[in-house]
Amino acid sequence: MALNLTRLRALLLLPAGMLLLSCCTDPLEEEPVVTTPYQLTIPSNFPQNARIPADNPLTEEGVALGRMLFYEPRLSRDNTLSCGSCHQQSKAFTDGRALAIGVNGARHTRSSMSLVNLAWEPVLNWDGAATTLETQARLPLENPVEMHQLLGEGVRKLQQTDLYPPLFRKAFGSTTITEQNVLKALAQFQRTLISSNSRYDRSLRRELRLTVDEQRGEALYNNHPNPDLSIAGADCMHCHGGPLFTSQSFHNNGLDATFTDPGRKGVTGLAVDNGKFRAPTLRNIELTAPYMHDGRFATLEDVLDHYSDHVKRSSPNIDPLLLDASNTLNGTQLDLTQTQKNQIIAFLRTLTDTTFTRDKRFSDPFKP
Amino acid sequence: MAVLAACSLTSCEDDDPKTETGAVSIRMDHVVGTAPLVLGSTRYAVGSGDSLTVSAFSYFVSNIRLRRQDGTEYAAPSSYFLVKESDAASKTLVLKDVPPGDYASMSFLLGVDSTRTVTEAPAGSLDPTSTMYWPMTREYIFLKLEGTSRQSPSSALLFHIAGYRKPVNTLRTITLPFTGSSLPVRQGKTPQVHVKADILKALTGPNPIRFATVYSTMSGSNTNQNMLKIADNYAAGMFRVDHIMAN
Repeated sequence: MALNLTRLRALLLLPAGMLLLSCCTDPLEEEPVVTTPYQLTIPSNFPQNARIPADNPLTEEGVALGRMLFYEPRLSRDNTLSCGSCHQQSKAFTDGRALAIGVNGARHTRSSMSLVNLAWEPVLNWDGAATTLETQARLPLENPVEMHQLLGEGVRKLQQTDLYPPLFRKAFGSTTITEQNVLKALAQFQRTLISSNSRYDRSLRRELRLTVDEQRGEALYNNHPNPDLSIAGADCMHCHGGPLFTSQSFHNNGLDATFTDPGRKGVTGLAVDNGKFRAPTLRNIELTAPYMHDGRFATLEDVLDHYSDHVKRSSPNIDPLLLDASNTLNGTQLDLTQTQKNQIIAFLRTLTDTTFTRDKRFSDPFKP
Repeated sequence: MAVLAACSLTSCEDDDPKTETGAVSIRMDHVVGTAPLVLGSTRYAVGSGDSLTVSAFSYFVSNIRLRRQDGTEYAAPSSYFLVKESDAASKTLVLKDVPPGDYASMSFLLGVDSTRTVTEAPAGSLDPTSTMYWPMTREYIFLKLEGTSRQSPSSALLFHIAGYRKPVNTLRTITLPFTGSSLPVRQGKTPQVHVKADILKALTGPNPIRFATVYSTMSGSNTNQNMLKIADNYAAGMFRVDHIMAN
């Protein structure tokens, strides 16, 4: 039923759009195209509300085109960088650097974010500067410290190739490439980047059992500590909870007492948002080092040391959860033992999904 | 071509017109005493001499019922709403397909009923980000109030109210009469009920909360009792109907 409706819509709407173009294009070439709906498999333990805009449904043709554009260096000023340069599949779509590097070696002030399960994200970027994938991609494409090329210029370059005009026609009905359709194709491809086959997921499906240390790490992850009742906890789930392992919101996690990067405040202008950054998903966190918005921590051990022992309690707008959570009676820090830190890291490593990082559907189509 | 396009626009709208019903919109306004709630550094005085800032205020509203003057009721099916101060859109709850009539009061469950909690799949699906769900006990947090206080030993205030199993059952039914006016639901209309929720009432009420001793329902020795006290407080008058806008 859904498939039939999609085909029907494609047939009905494309001719209407064509009326506008009919004066200047070959009517035979611009006959309506029929696209094939892309079957996105939503994991059963995921929220069922994936965000797919009505005006950009996933199609086989659109996703395939988006994959090529994701790895297309012509979209950068000097034809050297693609999205995939800073978002490498083998590193769960990060780059392994503390701070990203743009064209001509331009230094970014933030770390590349991993790309996973984006169909569920209501806000994107460390500061929530974009709210849809269709608008997000323009930011890195045009940012002077990233790919540094106006999208219009990228469209001009693509239009001059033999490769792209027919692919845009297959996906969107016209060989005339538009900025909107570049953004739509990139968004379609990114929505297919679903990771749900980690050891953790397989344990949920009862295909395997986590080790005792991993299970203890999971309990610490999900517990708020209460030394009065002898409950140990690390309280991770408040900001990294649920099947997506993110609150999808913004927190000051006590890294600094004063801020060099305003984070969320740069978008909202609100003092209350100063120093807050998006809680990133912890899926594949083992592969996305270094950590934090500025890549200041090289290892997961460093991250655990921060949350356990070095939270800046005086930081403005610090999340109150960081002030209350301690494993020591009247303690002022979380105070995890080395064993507890190791157990939490063991659990975090169960979130690594090598099916995802090796999935041929997500790899660079220009490489063998 | 034009005819085809016109057909496709109209043909989708001929399914089951609910001509006999109206709708109701419920708007939640959050206040601290007489002041509007502003998340962040605004400091509010509690009558006791304590003071607080609020960084998060969220709660579940479910099982909404509208009662007519003659005592008959309309129970809104599958009505589950997560209201967050940080999300303006979440503060307006819309009930569709409400039978016309003059309603004299409404009631709702502050929280998520046990049936929904234990039968849903995947678990916690009313809040996929789990900011209002605790996977360890498979319980929803019914109401969350977070902030800071100079009186709190940890500087933090963390009131997470949860639990549907005795003896820690914090589910509370809130009944709100539409005093002085009725809620007129008419075909095709959406009258609005403006509800005010006063956070101070959760901290004063029958069980005054002093932050020097009660500052977290997750840390300390009397966490369950403190959750019950706060639940009784907010059941005793945190919500009231401010006014009704017929339209």
